[in-house]
Amino acid sequence: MSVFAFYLFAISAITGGLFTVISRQPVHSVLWLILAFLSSAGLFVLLGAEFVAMLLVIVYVGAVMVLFLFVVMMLDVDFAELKAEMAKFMPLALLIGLVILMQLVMAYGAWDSAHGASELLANPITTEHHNTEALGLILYDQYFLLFQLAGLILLVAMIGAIVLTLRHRKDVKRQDILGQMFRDPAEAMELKDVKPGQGL
Amino acid sequence: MTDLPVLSILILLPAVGAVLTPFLRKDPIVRWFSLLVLFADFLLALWVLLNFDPNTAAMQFGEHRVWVPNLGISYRLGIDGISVWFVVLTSLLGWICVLASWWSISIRVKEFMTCLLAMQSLMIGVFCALDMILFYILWEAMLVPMYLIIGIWGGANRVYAAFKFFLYTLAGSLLFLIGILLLYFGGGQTFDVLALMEVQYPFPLQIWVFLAFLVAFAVKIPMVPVHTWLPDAHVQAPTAGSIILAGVLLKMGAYGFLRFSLPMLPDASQYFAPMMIALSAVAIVYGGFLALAQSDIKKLIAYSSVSHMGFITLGLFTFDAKGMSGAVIQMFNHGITTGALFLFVGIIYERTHSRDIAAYGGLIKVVPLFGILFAAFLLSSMALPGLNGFIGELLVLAAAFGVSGWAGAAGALGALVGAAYLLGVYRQMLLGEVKTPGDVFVWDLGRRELACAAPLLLFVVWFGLYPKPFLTILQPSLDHLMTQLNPTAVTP
Amino acid sequence: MDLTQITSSVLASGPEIIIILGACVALMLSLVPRPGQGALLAGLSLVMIALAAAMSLTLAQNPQTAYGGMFVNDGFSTFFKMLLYLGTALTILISDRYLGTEDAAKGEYYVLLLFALSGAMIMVSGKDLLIIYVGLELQALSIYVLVGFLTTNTRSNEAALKYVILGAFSSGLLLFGLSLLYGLTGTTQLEAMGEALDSVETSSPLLALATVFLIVGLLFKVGAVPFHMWVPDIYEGAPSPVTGFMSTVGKVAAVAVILRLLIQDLAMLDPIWRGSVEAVAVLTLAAGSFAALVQTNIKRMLAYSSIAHGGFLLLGLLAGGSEGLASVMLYLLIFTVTNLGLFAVIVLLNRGAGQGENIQDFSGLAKSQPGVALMALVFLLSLAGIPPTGGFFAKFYVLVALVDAGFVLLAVFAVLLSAIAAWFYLRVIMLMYMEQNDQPAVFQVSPAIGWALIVTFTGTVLTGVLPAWFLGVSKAAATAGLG
Repeated sequence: MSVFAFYLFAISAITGGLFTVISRQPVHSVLWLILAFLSSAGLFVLLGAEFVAMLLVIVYVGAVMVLFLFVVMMLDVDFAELKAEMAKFMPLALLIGLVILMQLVMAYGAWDSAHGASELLANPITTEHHNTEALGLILYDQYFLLFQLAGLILLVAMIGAIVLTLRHRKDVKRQDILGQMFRDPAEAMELKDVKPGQGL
Repeated sequence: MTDLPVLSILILLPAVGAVLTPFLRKDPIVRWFSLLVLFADFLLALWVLLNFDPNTAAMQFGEHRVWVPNLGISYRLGIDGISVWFVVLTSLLGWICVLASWWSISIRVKEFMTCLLAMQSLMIGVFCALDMILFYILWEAMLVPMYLIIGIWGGANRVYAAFKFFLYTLAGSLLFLIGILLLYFGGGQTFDVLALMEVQYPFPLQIWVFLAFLVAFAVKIPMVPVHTWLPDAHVQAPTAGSIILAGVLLKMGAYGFLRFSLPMLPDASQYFAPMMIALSAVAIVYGGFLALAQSDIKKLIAYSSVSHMGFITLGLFTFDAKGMSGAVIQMFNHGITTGALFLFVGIIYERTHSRDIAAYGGLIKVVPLFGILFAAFLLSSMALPGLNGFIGELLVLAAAFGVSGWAGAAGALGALVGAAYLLGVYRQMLLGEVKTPGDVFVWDLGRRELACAAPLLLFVVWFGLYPKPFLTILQPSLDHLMTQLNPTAVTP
Repeated sequence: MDLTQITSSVLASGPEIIIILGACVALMLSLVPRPGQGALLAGLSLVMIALAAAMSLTLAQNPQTAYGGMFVNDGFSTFFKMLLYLGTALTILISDRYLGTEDAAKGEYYVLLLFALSGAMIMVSGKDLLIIYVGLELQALSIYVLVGFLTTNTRSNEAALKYVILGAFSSGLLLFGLSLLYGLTGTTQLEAMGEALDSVETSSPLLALATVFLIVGLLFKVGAVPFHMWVPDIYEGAPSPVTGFMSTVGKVAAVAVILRLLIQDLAMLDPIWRGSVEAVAVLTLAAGSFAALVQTNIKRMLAYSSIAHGGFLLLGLLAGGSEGLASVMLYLLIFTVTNLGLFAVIVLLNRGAGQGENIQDFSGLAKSQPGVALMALVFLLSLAGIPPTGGFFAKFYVLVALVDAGFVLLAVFAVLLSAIAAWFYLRVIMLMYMEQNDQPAVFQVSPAIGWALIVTFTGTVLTGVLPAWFLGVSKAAATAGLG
């Protein structure tokens, strides 16, 4: 049963990935990508990492892919032109991809598992915690620093996005409360001596 | 002998002057201040000379301070019979340069004097340094003020000449650094010059280090074929720049051979001696003939320098007591004479702004004092007996004939050609019909210019007629050098 | 970890926490727009850096590991942190003026600088590959944004985009290498990894693949050939203080990671990467030296010069041993001081909207601003490696390490390429002193930049004339790093 499930999810993941790249419509690309992610989530469940699978579905599909859809919807991307550009570099890209593939095959041929990896695979550590609890215990205990730093990176990303893109429209009038409050009375008014019949 | 660090004061006095000069306001104050500082430095150098003990070959007035203990670099100074004369030469030419540039440098006088003072400090330091890295740092650092002097106050093509000078010398010096490091790791684990002289280096190492040192010194001297920077630098440099360049900087290359290549690498020096003699002979003849073909007086003197320095290297590599003392005497005398020649060229250039030999004529009738003194220096450069240039060339030629007939013949030919072009200048510029470029009025030497020329003339005549003081002080150090050179069995 | 462990860990990472807190406070303050906000935030940042530096020095008294062995405070990391503090402080000093000229002053600038500093500090202290990676990403992300800070300037936008894409790509390569190493050893902690790798053959293709990806990812960050293509464009487009920051602090952090990995913990990988890194080092020196000869934009020229200096650092890495390690550390110190000094001068020359960045703008500077021209002269000579400046001593020490380890041929190459490189530094000196210019640059030196210039000038001269103390400090840190 699980073998069948594995092949089902694997084929749909590869198909999804393939069609993401070759499809002509951007919205179709995003939808195929969603399929790829859902299949990956299924594979994770088969591996026993249900937390990661749920993360994939909720965060990746639910948030990131929806955002992608919005962006693709709003931007008028000329896909045909992009694809044409890609075709220009295809030979070089294929060559590099081929080289890396060969390297990976060589590496796989000399695959050396880590110490104790095979023993661990045969007898996984049994605990009374389920996946989510186990992840939580490690994340907030052993990898505490990494967790905090990851949060910092997200903060910086947020700040960065705002810094780079926030623009105030010049033609829309708005109230600048702090500017008003910190107004300097000395510079707010200027007295001019107007001679009679002269005007400013 | 007091306990004062005399050599440090000698080196640092101009440096302090260089730091203070930018804060002075008016140009006249700057000039007088620099003159006073450098003249005081000269008096101190004379004091050192008079208190020098001529009976020992050991380093005198030595100083030692730890500088970078982790790497074995220390601040070590000292002079012996060879370097004391160069210290005197450098400090003499220093204040003469200030006087010579009194009116000819009118823009940015402050910066010029700062550069001159800095140069002076660095040059004296080079001759006194007894630690290889200290020597290297001062040797390299000299490039910057010289680059600025040529590049800012020079002639029309000054930027090109300054770049050429800097890059040629830099490339050579950097290989020198590698040679120093090879010596450090190959034998001594110290940068102390005297200690390094004691180490017996294996022959292959000596060969490589000699070649590394050769590049640096050959560019400085300059030897053929890396001499092409000299004519440009000399022609484009201002008078003071040319005087220092010809008078002192060129000698540093030969000093490097004397102080480092010969005593530390005796086997390699012996091995390369034939090649060095051949190159020197080529320089003598080639430089001479090139000088013969020049119409620009500064370029002529530049090529004659190449030729004269060829004599010096020839003498050094004969490994004969006569030849080597002749070479050192020639180094000192060439500094005096060529410095004087450039001084006088500068004097006449100030009046007419032309360096074209053919445009001058009959100067001895119009400016007799200038003519007589200029003639004296020309004849000295030609090695006329009775003037200082003679004794050096005679000793070198004698030693050269002893080593190789061809070298001696080349030397003699060089001397002959030298006579030809120098007498040619004498005839064209001083004798014959009176002629000045553009019919400009030229006036005779003033008191300031006489003050510059007088000490140089004094040395020309004194060492021409009575070189014994020079030789007495030089002898012990030179004998010590000969013992260091004593051929050890060459193990290839 | 129990409570005592957590407390000691938090204390051990105190400097980082101070900087991050400072960044958050600055973020809050930046929301209050008042005149003089820039100076206030700059002052706040400097105070935070000073506090963090003081704490680092006190922590250095007793080296310790924290966070379960992921984070370490030893002499090695303290030395690098001091360099990072110095580099960031100097960048902050020269930023206010630049932001004013470019009319791009935003409070977030200092926030991002402090975050970048904290990321770099974490990279330097990391003893676990994941921590190093996360620190790297934190620093990189902050710098991506800083590079694109001049939002209305197309070159800045282009530089930021290029940097993001290439940075993400190189981080991906690095991560791939890290994951392969994890697969081989079963741990991401460097100490345990080193022990586990002892039993793996160095000829194993998988190990070779992992090392290659690791080295490539790291060399991207340093800007070595052939991964240097991003450097000129990004250095040219970024705001000048940020360029100064990247070329010094960015390099320091990346080199610290390289040293920690390749010389300290994973030293057994040496035979795999040595040959290729030799070739890379010489090519980097050559590419940087030759390409800089034809540049007309001063920031591009300094980008190539920075590539060449990176090549010299790789040579120090090749020399290896405590001498090689100390030489690289001293070189970074001197390079940071000199380069930021020169960038201070560039900021002074800036006239807004990308003007004032041409090399010709230096012409005639000696007449109009003699003091600044003299300082620029010393900085340029130091970068060229001419005594008696610090730059000479830095190069000298690397040469000593090379010859000591027997790599005389590499030393000869390094020296010859340095001679070629001297030309473009000389060209700027020539323009300053020898060119006539009817309209030379005239500017007022603000107090902040004045302080930056004084510190960098004194540093450059001191490291050249009295290098003994600096050398001793580097050697001590290097021995701590190897021990």
